[in-house]
Amino acid sequence: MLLELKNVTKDYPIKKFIFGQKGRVRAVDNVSLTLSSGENLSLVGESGCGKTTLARIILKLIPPTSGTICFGGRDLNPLSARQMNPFRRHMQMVFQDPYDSLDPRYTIRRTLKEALHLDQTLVKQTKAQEERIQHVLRSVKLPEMMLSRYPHELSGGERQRVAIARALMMNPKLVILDEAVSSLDVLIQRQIIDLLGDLQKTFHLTYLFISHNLKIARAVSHQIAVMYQGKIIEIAPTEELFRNPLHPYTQELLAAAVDYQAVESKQHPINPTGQLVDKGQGHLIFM
Amino acid sequence: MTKQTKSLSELDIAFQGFKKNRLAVGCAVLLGLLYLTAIFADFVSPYSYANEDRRYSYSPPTAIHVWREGRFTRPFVYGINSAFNDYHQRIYQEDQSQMFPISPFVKGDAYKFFGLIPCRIHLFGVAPEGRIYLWGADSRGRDLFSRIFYGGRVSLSIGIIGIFISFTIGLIVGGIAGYYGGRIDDILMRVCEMFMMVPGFYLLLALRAAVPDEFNSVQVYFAIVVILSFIGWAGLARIIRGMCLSLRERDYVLAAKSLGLSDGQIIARHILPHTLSYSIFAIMLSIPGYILGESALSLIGLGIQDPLASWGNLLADAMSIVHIKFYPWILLPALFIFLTVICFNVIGDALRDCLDPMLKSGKGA
Amino acid sequence: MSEPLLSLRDVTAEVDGVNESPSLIHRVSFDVTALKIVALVGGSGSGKTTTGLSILRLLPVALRITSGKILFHGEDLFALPGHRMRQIRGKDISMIFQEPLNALNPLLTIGQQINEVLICHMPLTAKQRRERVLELLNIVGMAEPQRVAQNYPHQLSGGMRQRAMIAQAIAANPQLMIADEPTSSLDVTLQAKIMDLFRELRRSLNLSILLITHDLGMVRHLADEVVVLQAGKIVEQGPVARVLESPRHQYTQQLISSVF
Repeated sequence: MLLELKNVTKDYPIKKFIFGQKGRVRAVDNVSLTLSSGENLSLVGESGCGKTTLARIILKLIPPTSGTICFGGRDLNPLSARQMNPFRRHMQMVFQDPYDSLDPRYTIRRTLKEALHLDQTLVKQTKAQEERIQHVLRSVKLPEMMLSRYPHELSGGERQRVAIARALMMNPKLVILDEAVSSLDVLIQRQIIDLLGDLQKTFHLTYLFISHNLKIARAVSHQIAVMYQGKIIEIAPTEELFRNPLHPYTQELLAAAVDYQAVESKQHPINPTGQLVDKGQGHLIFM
Repeated sequence: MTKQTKSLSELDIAFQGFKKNRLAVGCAVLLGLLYLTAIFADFVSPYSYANEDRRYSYSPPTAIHVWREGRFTRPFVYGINSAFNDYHQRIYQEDQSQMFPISPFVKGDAYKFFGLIPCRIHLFGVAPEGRIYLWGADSRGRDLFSRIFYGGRVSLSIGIIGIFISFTIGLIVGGIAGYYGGRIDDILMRVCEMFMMVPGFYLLLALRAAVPDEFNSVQVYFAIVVILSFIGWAGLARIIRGMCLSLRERDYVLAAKSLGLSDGQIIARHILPHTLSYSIFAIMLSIPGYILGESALSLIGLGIQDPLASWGNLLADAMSIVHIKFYPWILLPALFIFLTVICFNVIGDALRDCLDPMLKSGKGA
Repeated sequence: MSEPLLSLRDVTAEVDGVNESPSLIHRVSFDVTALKIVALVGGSGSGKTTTGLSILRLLPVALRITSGKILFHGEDLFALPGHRMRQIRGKDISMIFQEPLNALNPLLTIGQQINEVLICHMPLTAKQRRERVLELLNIVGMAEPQRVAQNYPHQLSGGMRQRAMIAQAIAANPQLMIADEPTSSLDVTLQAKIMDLFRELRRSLNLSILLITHDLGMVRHLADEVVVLQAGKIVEQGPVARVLESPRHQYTQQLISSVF
């Protein structure tokens, strides 16, 4: 088991004007998930459903309110920042907006080099570092001359390749792609998705793919989990989900993504005591 | 896609924009000259700042002659005779019997080059028997030309050192407050506001009063620098904090976090450098405040003490309208303050103009 | 066949002052017939946004139309004096943008911003304008027009902001709306709803739409005709069904195969 989430919950306090709390918002609500090596999982849901928060909790960028996150069998929660470092190199993230995720003052080489700082064996080995940079850059199909460029000289697709290269520098096991292709045009989306497929083979990666678009999620994932209001309301192998969406919200998402059909929007009530129920073939639905 | 051979960082692009602003480049050159003359004040000025000759109190600027007995000669000055008029004021007249050629690289008052190498050579001067007052003399017969350059040392350096101290404090406090937010932010910002609430000049006077009387001039100088930067850092910290608050939400900061960089590394590498564009022109626009602050203190006699010169205490002489009427050249230090402040402001404005598009988009695209 | 509402004839735009620069759009010609939804399709950098902006003469100063004509009701928009052009913008042709948060003024309420358009283009009294604002918000499917009119853009969700911008665009009953990537920043569920709204507006307001997008899936479900742009040149155009079923140009095929 590569990654295992158990009952992860994240509350955000709503602050009063001066002191104290008014209440809490539950961004992620009792989420349990497992990821096996090589089995890509997609988290799909509309903006504000808690999927990005969940990704950041996994990377320990924000602490969960409760629940455990195990990576390779180790519970990450009690680890200090320093103890976390060996795990960080195995879990990397690619962000949605390639215009925002690269430091505009850094050349591409410097951005990639910085990603190597966790690898103690490579410190001061300029030659080995350079080889690694070249290797990763070739893998994401960027020419070498990009290295001395600044982000503002690159197109959106090129920037996103750099962001992917940065995530790959440390040879991670898990790469979290947070809406990584949403801001690109279709041609580039397709190229990046194809690239992700190639990289998975060469680098032996597992993807956690976060998207609002079921159609794109379908192209990269073995399993899809649908999130709604902080909860996972349905999880199934990709083709099974497309064939047989059970939850009304999943059906709405499918209609919108595949047929561009708007379903009359309605609130989907969440049963407060509900649980994920197995419907066979690994298809779970929240009820 | 741009097909350029050399990649330009955002700062490079901004600098190219700056070079197109002729007025600002002119100001930068002028400012550079002022700083050079201040650094080499010992060499450039014919006399030391303390070299006085009471016989020549308020001597007017010395005329330089190049014409003698119908033909050109090398520049020279005549000796000076003085007499008293009915009001017991000195009247200076040229003594045409004495003639002192102006020569380059003459030996004069001893000084230490860069405070290290003992040296007596001055850029120009006349024989010791004569006196040359290019811009007139003060009440004790000291050369105003020399004293302005010596004064420039104090006045110009106080801005740089002061801004350095207050910027260091401001960047650190603002960076920490903005990056961590929450309670740390609240506490630090309340402290800043306490400083900002007190009117600057009163705070200046109050802090100056706390400096012991027995300080020598160098200690007083540093006390003033510290006092000035003490007042200046708070406003800056608040602005840096505001910028950090928004910068820390950027994805590349998150990316750096997920790479396992420590908070200190992230603040130093990915957050503070982005406040640089703002900082550069904020520095330019706030240096004049330090120069003026020092001048104000020295003007009312609380700053640099005689015989040490600063533009402020040179102007203290010019506080009486009678003196200005009879000896208008004692206002010259004001011109230098004015020029310096204008230069810094023009450069600051130009920098803001060429850095602004970057600041706005932040994406540089 | 009736006279087209809008027709572009050999429009070429270049970067101003740079000799021999590749033109951003090159000899672009197409028609928008009344009541049709025409899609302008291409990848990023294909010149589709430039084309949209040039119709309203809103190109950035560095860009310039060097040749060609843009005819609106047979009238050449480039020949019009500035004040006539301002009357056309918003009144006859309006535009909506990709990112409503950038296109709406954060300091004015939604109601005030729609009102502004009405003041410019409609001879209405203040009271009539207030009613019209609510009516417009109702048309674009806002649940609580009263409240939304008093909200600032940041108080609305992405989908509602996009609707508010559409309300502003249709305020003066335009004949043509240019929609530049109107749904790319939205969730799929909202995308589908905005597309529904477009169909509805065309029917109820007799609106023609020039839809600028890179998403052929959306084109298939919404548009009548499609114009495919590659690097500033039209590579293929025709009825949606024909172009998408049997694309002739390789770039069109590539675009189609990219759709997930």
